[in-house]
Amino acid sequence: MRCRSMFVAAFACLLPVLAQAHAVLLESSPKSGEMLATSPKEVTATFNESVGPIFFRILDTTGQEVGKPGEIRLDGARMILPLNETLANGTYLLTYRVISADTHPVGTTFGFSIGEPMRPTSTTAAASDTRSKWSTLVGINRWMLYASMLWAAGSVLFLLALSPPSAVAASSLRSGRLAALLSAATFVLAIGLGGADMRLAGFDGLFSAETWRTGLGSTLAASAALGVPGMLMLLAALSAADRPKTGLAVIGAALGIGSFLVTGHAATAPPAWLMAPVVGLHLVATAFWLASLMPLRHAARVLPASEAGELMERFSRYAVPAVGIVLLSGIAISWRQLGDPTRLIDNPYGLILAAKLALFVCILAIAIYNKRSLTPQLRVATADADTRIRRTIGVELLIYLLVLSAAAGLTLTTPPRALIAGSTSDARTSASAGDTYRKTISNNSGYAVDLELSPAKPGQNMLMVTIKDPSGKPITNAAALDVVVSLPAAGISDIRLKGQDVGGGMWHLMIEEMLIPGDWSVSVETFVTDYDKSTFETTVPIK
Amino acid sequence: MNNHKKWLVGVAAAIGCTAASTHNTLTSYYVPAGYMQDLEIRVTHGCKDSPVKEFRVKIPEGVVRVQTQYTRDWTVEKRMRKLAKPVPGDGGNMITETVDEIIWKNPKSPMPAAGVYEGFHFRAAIPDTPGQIIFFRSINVCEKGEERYVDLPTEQLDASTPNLPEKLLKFMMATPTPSAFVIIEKPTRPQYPFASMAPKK
Repeated sequence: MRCRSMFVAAFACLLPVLAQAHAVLLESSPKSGEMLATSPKEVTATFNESVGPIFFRILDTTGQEVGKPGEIRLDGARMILPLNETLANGTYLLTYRVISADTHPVGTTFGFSIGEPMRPTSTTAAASDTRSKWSTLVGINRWMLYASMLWAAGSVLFLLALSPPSAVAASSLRSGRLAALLSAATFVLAIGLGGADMRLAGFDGLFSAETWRTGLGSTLAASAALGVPGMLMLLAALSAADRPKTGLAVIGAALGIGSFLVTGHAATAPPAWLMAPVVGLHLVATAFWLASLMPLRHAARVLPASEAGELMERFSRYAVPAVGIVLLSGIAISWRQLGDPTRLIDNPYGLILAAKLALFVCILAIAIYNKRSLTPQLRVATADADTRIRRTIGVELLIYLLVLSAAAGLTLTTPPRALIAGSTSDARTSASAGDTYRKTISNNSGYAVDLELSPAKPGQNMLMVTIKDPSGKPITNAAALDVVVSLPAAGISDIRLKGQDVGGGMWHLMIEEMLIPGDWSVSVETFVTDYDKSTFETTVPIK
Repeated sequence: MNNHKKWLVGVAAAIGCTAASTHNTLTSYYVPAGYMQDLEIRVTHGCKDSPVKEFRVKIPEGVVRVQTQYTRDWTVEKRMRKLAKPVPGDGGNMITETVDEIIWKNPKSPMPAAGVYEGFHFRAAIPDTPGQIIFFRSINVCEKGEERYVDLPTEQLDASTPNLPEKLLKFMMATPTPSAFVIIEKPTRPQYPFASMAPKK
């Protein structure tokens, strides 16, 4: 039992790493709020995975780029900006925006100083992130995908390794089939939900072809391309009387495990030739453990106590090396993702790992109780030992599923990069998001647009545009709407964004690029018909 | 594609490459007033890296008697609009409606996004208004996205506008999607070397 509990804990510890969906800033030079003695030759930012820079700049407090920067260099997960000019003593802003492996743009801006204490600036931290109303469903689906895929693949391992008595095997085959079916469905659903999430689609977005095309264009499709055939093979392989069809089952399980390796950050972290097998082993060992719980619990009920005890001891023989694999691979993955054990406490990512460790301690206590007390009782067929062991296995399974749900839920959590970067986050980032900046712009065409920008602060902003005809009625059949934003003062030139028609003459956009305070130029291009373009220009204050 | 290149493509897409290298243009920038003129609109690239699967052009006011060239590669659709007042047609009869929009679609294969150009051919009667500049607004519909070359200059331009070349350049540089245009010239000779069969005016 102890081994199994260790499985729970080890898996619990590492799932957040697998589930983390964004590039996280681990290290920067300068750090947020840092006072440097002299002007740096270069500035660097190190992430937990390789990133693609959109921009990386040093600004003075007026938003002007300074330091005559050279080309941005990439060294693995490190982004380096050489500065060819000495910066005078004073306060500066470091700002970057990168695309992470999941094509999710993330960015931040923070202050530092050279030669003198940092003066308060208007921007000390502004992290931004996109999440839509689909994110909860994405998380729930991911949870079901994790649980069902591991369960289905693990059932094969359990059945092949332990050759349990037919009553127990039947239970495992049954739950394995169900898991494979559920898994295949969630693999497919993940594409649609992922697409809807990426497109920030409305509630009917799941039924649009565009949504699925977006999902199909992401790594979710590659994952499903391996996972769905794998799960269907497992379904076929597990549809046997008491033993799975070995060849088909092994291929199916391998495809299932493989499908997780093409997307996970942990598996794709360099060196991939090493990390992919490590994560693969980690998943195989975990799957074996997860899928064993239910049949073992079933065994305690249907088998004579001594036989059940014997089966559990047999399980332990495989579980001990499996725990070793999970722990060692887990340590390797965590090390690769975090870099340094001190990271366990100074960023949320690490804090989550630490919390999972605390859970480990609780489960260890249950495990010791099982090992010392229940298993010997089961072997000598003590009255109600079987009931109690079933109860504890049930608790383990429950905790396991909770851990999986927590892991999936983590994908919805925005890594607070500003917090990682330093402690200078001011009230700005926590300011209420309820502020909305409203403006009506008209031009000589007679038409007008209503703008609603919220929260009109540095970071992610949502823009709603309504096109109105000369009589003030919303135009509901416009062909398209584009928005171009720029902040000439900071050298940020035309960022072109496509509006999404949300009905009733309203168009919706998420603007990620407004990271620097200032008067941003916003140009709304409406196409009332395919050929009739009307442009509305204004500036909006971001502060 | 190595990782960095992939990133660059992503970044380019993310920040929206505004510096489109070329626009949709008419192959000749001058047409003689009143001629029955062969016209070609050139599409020189797709929408970023997406191939063109449909091309649409809006026929400007005053350009009538539109006939499209036969093509084996595209399905051509013409949409009509009513004329405010009837004009003489090809056979001397009066016509009450004219082509409003031409749509080339369902290509044998979509036009690749880069490296080639496609000419879309039609002929039409050019209005007898020497000096006028007319704009052919067009749309490239790509497999992913579309580009609308529909922008017009902010001020009225014609052949007599002072500093016209500079103003046209400014117009073409002001946005990534200017409309194609032609300048109508006074013809130096009649279109046909033989005598007209139409009754003398």
